[in-house]
Parts: sequence; C-alpha cells; structure tokens
Amino acid sequence: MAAESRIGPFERYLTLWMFGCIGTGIALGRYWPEVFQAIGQLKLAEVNLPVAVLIWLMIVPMLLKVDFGALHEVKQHARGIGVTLFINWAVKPFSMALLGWIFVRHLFASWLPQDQVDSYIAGLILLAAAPCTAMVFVWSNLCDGEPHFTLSQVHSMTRLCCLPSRPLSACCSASPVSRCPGPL
Amino acid sequence: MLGLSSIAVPWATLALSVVLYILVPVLISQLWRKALLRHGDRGRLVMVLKRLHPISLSALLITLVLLFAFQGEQILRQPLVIALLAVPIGIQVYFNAGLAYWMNRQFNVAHCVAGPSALIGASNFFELAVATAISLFGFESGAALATVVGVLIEVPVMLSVVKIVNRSQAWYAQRTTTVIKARLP
Repeated sequence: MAAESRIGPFERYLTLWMFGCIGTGIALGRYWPEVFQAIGQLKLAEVNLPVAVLIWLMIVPMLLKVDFGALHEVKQHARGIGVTLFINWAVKPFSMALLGWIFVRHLFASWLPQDQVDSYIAGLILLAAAPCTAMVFVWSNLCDGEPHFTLSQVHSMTRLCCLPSRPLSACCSASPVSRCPGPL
Repeated sequence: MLGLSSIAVPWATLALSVVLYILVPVLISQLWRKALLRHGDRGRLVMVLKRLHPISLSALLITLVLLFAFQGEQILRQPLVIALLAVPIGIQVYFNAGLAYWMNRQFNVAHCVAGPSALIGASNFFELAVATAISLFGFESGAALATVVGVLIEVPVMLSVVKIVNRSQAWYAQRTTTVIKARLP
C-alpha cells in the first residue's frame, strides 16, 4: 500500500547499503582511528552529539506528522498500549536474562573469557531493561505506524523509567474501535 | 540477580536524552508544522515530507557508519566475542517483536499500531544502557562491551523487523477481517 508505492532505490537495496555502511565504518575506524575517536569523544553524558544531530534528521519526518490536537485519540489504542507496556516491562528484561543464561553462561561459555561471563550477562540485562530509544520514531515511520501512538508510547516509556511506581492507568478504558489514519 | 535494585540510574544521560531526543525535536517539528499548515492546505507539508525522506534515510546510514567507526578497533580486537554476544541480543529482539506483534493481532489491534508496538517492544535505549554499564562496571568491562554490541546491531536488526512488519501486512489483516466478518450479523 503506501509503503509499497514509495519504494525507491534506497529502500530496495537497503540491506546492501547497510552492509556497505558497516564495512565502511569498521574500515574508517581502523585506518583513521584518531579522527573517529575524536568524533566519538564529542559527547555529553554518554550522548554523542554528532549522532544526536543525525537522529534529529531521522525523527523529524515522523514528528511533523504529529497533530497535538489529535494526541488524546491514542486512548482508542488501549489494547496496543497494554501489549507494549506488558512486553517492555514484564517480558523483555526476563527473556534477555534467560537468553543470556542459555547462550553466554552455557552454550558459548567455552569461547568466552570466563572472568567476564557475569559482566556480559549484566550488560545484556541492562540493555534489555532500558526501554526504547528515539530511533523508534524512525522505525515507526518506515512501517507507516500511527505517529501519535508511537510518540505517546516513547513518552510514557521515558516517564515510566523515571517513576517506576506510577500506576499503569493508561491501559484502562478499552475501546473496541481501532483505525489507521491516512498517510498524514 | 545482579543487585539490579541498587543500580544507580545515570540521570544526566536520561535527562539529556529526553531533552535532546524528545523535547527539542518535538518543539521544532511542531513549529515547522504550524508554519507549513498556516495557509490551511496540506500540500506544503506533503512536499516537505517527500523531500525529507531521502535525507532522513541518509542520516540513518551515516549514523550506522559512525557507530561502527567508533567501535572499529574494539570489533577487530575481539570479533568472536562480539559475534557471540550478538546472538542472544538478536534472538531477544525478534522474540519480543514477534510476541508483541502476535499479541496485537490476537487483540485485533490495527496494523498501524501493531507495527510500532512490536518495534518499541524490541528496541533498546542503548545510550542509557551503555552509560549505566560504564558507570557501574567501568569502560573496559564485559558489561560495557555487551551494551555496545546492542548499539551495533540495533540499526540492522530493527530494519529487518520493519521489513517483516511491512511484508506481513496481508497475513496480519487476515485475522482482523475474519473477526470483523464474524461480528457482522
């Protein structure tokens, strides 16, 4: 549908571009380490500023589609909100702990430095316990996601992260209506 | 398990991320949107979105180059460890995205909500994870390396999830339509 019609050379060969960029990145980091270490150091509280600017360029298109007047309509997506909260807080950290235990502690143990195994698993759990990033705006836009739903969810993830005890009142008042907006 | 309850949240990273990634871009976008819609027609907004599309995809690819360039030495120093750590993280992303997508389908949630829901379920706030790991275990720790692997695989893996969500639209709609048909008298 809408996603099909605007497929250009960019999207068609995205996998190819992607691997090209990964290779280029590794090569640049290898041959000009000083330059990229310097760019990597341009950060404030672990947030890299050049990457932050690029993330702006990526997320503005989705944010332009957000009509604040219509933001209250996300209530009609109550079940979607419920599923998202459930996965993020009740499944994700625990599935990662389980996968870390299976793969890092058991299956791959003989190939990994033994004294680091606990540390690797701790890192994996930290990764899974940290809720979604602003990059989700990009992913949502690429799959024609409902922009108001995405913004409200990213917002609530960040808020819940700050106040874990806040009651999950958002997922009450279920409504059977669900609809997708047009391209805007 | 890890004494996770006693973890110090890196508040500076969290606060700066919220301001930098949510507040500022939302403000700019809303002012811009208002300016574009000033004359009441959506034509200008549609045109700007069309022009921004390739720019935002280029920004995505440049981000990918930078993220790998920052870690280039680390990757070449211990490629096996990085590849091995990518396995559970990759499975984790597909499992959580798949579970969220399937649950939304079971609950007859619209596809345009199920997509972002699955992506949010799968995505990780890697800046926060990296900052927490470094502050707790140190820059050279295995924990910091594991979170860095999360940074490296975020873009490729999430793009593949986007592809799956777009391609499975027909499969997703099958259930919604049968339910609607069943509800009709």
